Amino acid sequence: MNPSATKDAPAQEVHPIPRVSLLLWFALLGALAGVFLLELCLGSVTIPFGSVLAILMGDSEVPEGWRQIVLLFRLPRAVTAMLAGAALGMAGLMMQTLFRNPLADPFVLGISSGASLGVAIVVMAAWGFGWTAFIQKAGISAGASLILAATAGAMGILSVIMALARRVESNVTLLIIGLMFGYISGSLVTILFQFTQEQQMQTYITWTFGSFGGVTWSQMTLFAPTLLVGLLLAWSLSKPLNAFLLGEGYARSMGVNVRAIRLWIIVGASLLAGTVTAYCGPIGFLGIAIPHLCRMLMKTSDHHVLAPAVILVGAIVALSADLLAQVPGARIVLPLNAVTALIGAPVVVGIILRRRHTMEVGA
Amino acid sequence: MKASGTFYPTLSGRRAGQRVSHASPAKSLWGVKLLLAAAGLLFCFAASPFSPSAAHGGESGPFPHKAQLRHAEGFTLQYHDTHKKIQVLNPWRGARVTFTYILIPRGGTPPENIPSDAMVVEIPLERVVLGSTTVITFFPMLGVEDSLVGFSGLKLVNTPEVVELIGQGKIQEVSAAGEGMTRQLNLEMLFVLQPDLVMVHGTGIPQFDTHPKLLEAGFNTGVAGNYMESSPLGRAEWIKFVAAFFNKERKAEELFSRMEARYQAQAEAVRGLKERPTVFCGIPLQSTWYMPGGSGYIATFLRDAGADYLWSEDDTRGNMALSVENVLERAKDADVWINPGAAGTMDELLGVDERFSLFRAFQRGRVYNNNARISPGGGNDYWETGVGRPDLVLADLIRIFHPHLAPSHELHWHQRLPWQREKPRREKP
Repeated sequence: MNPSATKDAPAQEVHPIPRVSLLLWFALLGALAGVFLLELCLGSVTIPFGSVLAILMGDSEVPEGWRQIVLLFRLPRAVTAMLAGAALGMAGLMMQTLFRNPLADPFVLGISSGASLGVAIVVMAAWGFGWTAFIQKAGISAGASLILAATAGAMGILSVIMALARRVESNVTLLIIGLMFGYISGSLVTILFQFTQEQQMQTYITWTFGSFGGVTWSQMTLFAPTLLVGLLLAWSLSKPLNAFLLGEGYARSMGVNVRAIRLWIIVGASLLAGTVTAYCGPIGFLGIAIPHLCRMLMKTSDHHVLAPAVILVGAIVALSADLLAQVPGARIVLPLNAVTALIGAPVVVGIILRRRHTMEVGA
Repeated sequence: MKASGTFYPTLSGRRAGQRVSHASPAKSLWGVKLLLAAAGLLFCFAASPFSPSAAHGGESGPFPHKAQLRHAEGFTLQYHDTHKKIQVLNPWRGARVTFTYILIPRGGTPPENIPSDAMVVEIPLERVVLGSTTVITFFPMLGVEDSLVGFSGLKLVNTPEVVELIGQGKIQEVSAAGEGMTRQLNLEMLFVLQPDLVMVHGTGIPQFDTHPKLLEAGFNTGVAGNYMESSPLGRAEWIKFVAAFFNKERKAEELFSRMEARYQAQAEAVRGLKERPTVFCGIPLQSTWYMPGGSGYIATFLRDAGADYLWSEDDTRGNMALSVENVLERAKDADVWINPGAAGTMDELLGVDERFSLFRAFQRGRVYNNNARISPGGGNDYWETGVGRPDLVLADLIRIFHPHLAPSHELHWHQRLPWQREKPRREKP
């Protein structure tokens, strides 16, 4: 249960891990550092690598404009991408284990749709009451209400699903119910649009394109701690999650308080997916693709291994997607969601075709 | 005439069959006359006492006043002995279709050999439905606002004369659902209103476009593409498009020529100025900055107002999607920032993204937005009556960039964004 214990995961007797995976961990860390630096160096404005390093070292000789671009735009963007990728991957991992379904992710279960509904209500209500009054206090308060709305929307949808989960036995049924609730919140958003001005609608639509670039340092003071808490919570659930892999009956026989753990899984996944969705928009495919990538890389379903792997791989994939979306060298930018779907969908198809039993223990 | 005036069959054939039967007994008579008219040219002249000679305003042919286009590129206007021909060339971005209108006097016969896709419209119009605010301002300018019987999104309207008519209940709401962007026209309402013409604008996006359904239902549908014009004068010259449907060319020409002269005189006055403040526009949405193209409407205004638009060398007409860092690099030290989205105060801007304070224009408080006049439903008057008065818009901009040249002009559509205000939407010059 202790998060730090997971570092010893390779030595655990339950799932012996080949030594090569130590190398793998270092390779992942190296890759993360690499894409992180690339994210800081590449952009539509060309800034030499040396200058970027100098800026990071606190050198004030570098032109002021470059420093602002790196420190105020690229750095928060990179941190946001890392956190968001890790959070979506983790939420996806928990959902896939909880429902024992390889296709589960925050989207399929309506969490993201719920978050979208929450945001839509806030964005439109804000305009109704006067955008000014709402945003006047600026920064934290506005951001906080967005996070609250998105998280509340996400939790609302998932709690309904879980309440129904007590009645239905089949996870497939539950999944379908989740999908249907996703459609319901989608249609509620559409209905809201009928009473909406074009500007608000434009705000909402561009929000759905997804972006890591909108989080400023002052918003980061809420964004990062929330996600870190969510990630730690998820990581600390590794042991019961492992038990869930063999079914609730087995988990119960292992002494797991199924009801309580299920609740914590819901809270964790909603917090992670809801927060990311609030700030970055509903970003697709990372939640479903990253856990699969990690299972393939680590050749295990042990959550003590998968949790840190998902955090690392999630950060790497999200940063890479953002790099592509920014089309280095060009002055235009692509919507992030277009890129994640473009690289995420084939990955999922490939993995599922290659590994039919990808959800099985130790597969 | 007006009482039974809900029924004006055209010879295009697709309308007559779909008319509902609340028309007056004159219907059969009309049918006979039109049949005969179609049969023989001679009878055509006999049947034409209905042609509204008063509107012709002269004896020399049906269309004595012919409008000439000087700026508009989106439509053509040709005059023939028996009809006018209007062609809308560029109804939306990248459009591959054009729309052709054959305008004939009421009761007249359409000429032979017209293109099969041409729409025959009897003029002057008496009952018009508008699908958006893009051309609404021209109606009171021409004195034909009484012809408006329906509008989609009444709460969006700013034009005072039309707002008054709405208040008197003379203009019906024809929007099918709410006032949102996805609003469609209520076809059943249109069948009740029986308009001579429904004027909409097209986007080329099937979910948003209403004209295919209107045409299918047999309504005469005008697709106005004035929002595609890249020059302000070109956009305003669409007054002649509307005028052609009412035989109001003389009035349109008069109004437009005066406006054109005022516009050009103002542009001339700032042309030689050495000091041209640098300016940038827009606001980022999800870290993508939508900047007006250097060959578009806004860019032309900025150039004519004696400003140095930082993206003027660009040849895009629509918006460019730029990265924020790109904009920061180029516009950090710009003098003026205009049209930052929906922001009404500096606080709002800062609330959206505190990094806006990096811009010098922001630090110096030289941020102007074109949203000083907003209707209760959120319609921005800048895109409504502003379209018909480019000379006044230019005066606003010159006041912003060169205040000493227009010391007495009070900002009309623009406002300098204030810090902290009590209530939203306070109008302040």
